Amino acid sequence: MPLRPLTPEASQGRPAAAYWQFDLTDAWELLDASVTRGGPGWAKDGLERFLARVRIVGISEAALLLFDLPWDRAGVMGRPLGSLWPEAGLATLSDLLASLAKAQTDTVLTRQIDDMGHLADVVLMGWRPAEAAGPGLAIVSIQATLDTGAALLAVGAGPARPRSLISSLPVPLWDVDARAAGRVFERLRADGVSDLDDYLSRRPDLIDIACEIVVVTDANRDALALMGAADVSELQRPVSYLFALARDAARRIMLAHFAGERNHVEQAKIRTLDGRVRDVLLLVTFPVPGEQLDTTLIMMIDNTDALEAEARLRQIQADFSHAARLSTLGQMTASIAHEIKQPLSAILTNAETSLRWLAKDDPNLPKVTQLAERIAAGAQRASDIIARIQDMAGKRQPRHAPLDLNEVVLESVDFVRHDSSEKSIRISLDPADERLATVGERIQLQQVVVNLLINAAQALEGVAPAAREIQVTTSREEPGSVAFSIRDTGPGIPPDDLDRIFGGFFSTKAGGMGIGLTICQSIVAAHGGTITATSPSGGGAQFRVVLPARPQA
Amino acid sequence: MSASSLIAIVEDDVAIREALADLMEVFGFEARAFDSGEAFLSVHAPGLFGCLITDLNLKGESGLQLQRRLRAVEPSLPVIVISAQPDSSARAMALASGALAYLTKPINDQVLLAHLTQALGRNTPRA
Repeated sequence: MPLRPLTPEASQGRPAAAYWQFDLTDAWELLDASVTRGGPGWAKDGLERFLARVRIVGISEAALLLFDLPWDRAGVMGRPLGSLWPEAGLATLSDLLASLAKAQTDTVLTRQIDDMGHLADVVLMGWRPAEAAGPGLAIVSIQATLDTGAALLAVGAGPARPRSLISSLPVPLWDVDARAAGRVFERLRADGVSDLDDYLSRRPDLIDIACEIVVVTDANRDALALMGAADVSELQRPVSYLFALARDAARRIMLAHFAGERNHVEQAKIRTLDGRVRDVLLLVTFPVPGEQLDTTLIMMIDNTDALEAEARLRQIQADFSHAARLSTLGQMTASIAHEIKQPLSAILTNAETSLRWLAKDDPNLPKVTQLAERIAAGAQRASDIIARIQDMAGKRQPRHAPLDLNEVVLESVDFVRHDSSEKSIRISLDPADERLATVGERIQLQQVVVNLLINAAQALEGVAPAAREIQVTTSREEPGSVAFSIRDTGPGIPPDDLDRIFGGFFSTKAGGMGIGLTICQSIVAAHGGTITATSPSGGGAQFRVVLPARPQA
Repeated sequence: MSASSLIAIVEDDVAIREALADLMEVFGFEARAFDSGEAFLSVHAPGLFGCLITDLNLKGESGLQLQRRLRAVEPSLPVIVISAQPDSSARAMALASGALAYLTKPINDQVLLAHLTQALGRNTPRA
């Protein structure tokens, strides 16, 4: 039987005809009871297995238009049939092909489908031409009525569509034809699907199908640059290449489209044509009725560098936080060594004294007993100091616990007292005369106090020794807050700097890293508190930390 | 050499101060302990003490400052400086200021006894 494909012009708006050519060779062996039930109807998975073996080897231009396929004829070859044919027609087509395989060559078989996507009154006619190179070749011609004449016209206008303004915009933009997905959604709705999310959970392959049937029609220069493409034709493909690393994003975009949303935005990863992976902010704008329905816009903003910088900064901050803690520790090493030598020294002297008493003819046993008790107390003191250092040096998870801010501040002052007295700095304490109950990580809060004390001490370097003073105050604040403040008699903070000093990398010291106050602030913030710096009228600088009080039981 | 055998101990750490006082007792020395240089100076009179043992890192006036002030009123009083700092500059400064000895904590009692004996000009302590 001769093949007489109709031209699109001849079919415009009227019953259209078109044909497909299929190679059934690979599907042949499946045509037994395992995929068919011997008559109409397919065994479980039989249809899918059969379709997967059917290869498309030819298609007419009319069929491209009728099926609203965005590729040229070569572009259709080798694609899965399931992604090209409306789902409603697949079973009928498969039945036809299976029957053709069993029938004699040149036997014409017909099937009818009332409604197949945007096609109605579909008549399929199929045969296996005897003159073909192999017995596996089947031709299926289609006659159908378009449900709207406009759809075909729009397809016909496709290649001639004027290039939109996307080409002039300086961000990567893709012009996408998502009507095929829109039709799938319409069909699903007609079938009673209202929860696409749930449906996709059961039919995840629909995501892959959508990525194949939604097609890029145009892309601008920035999109080419982002994707590493030399020519726009490299990007005029199904959108699957945009979602190779972001299948979940494709799914969410489908949900947004299905829900009738205007836009969808999310952060995603893409793989470029030359294999790079980029982080992009993905923005999709769907057309609404009244607009060109074949124009869905995808914009991508490459923020890989920004995200990398942010991640690096976070890492640096984490490293610095640890480094600063160690550096704080380093600055305190002299104090700590001094602190730990004191009890050790007392222990040794007491032990020596005890031995001397015991070696005498008239040992003073009550004295030796007292000395032994002091040795035990001294050992305990040394052990406590070591535990405190271990706490300080350990990079462990914060443990928030009820604590007394008074205690925390006074302990911290002890850490720097030795260092301060060497620098002739007087530390005056004005603690609240009550427990200042709060909740927090003791070591971190100590770090804040110590950092602020070290800052204050550094501010006093240019001050005459007699005038070097640090005032440490703790107090209860109303309502529901506790606070401490550290004030020095240094030169104060210039008004312009007051806003910047917590900003990170701000330092007045030549070798300063400028992260101490940033760390203080992040610790205080993590405790739900605030830290402020002022230059009080009396001179010097004052840092004030306010923390939430722990409600009393 | 000093006529008095009374030993002054200046140390702000109470545990060490008590330990040193007890050590003096078992050595057989009379001793008086002070928690600051100021407290010592308020009691000090030339000839009252035979030796001063002072900590270097005192909370108020440092051991070094005490040494200098003492030199103005009783330059002949032997001073033994004790410190937790082993660094040579502190040692050099203490010795340059006339200290008889600079001992680092923890203190070896034999060494301290030897220096005290030397300071008091006696070969053996009493008792």
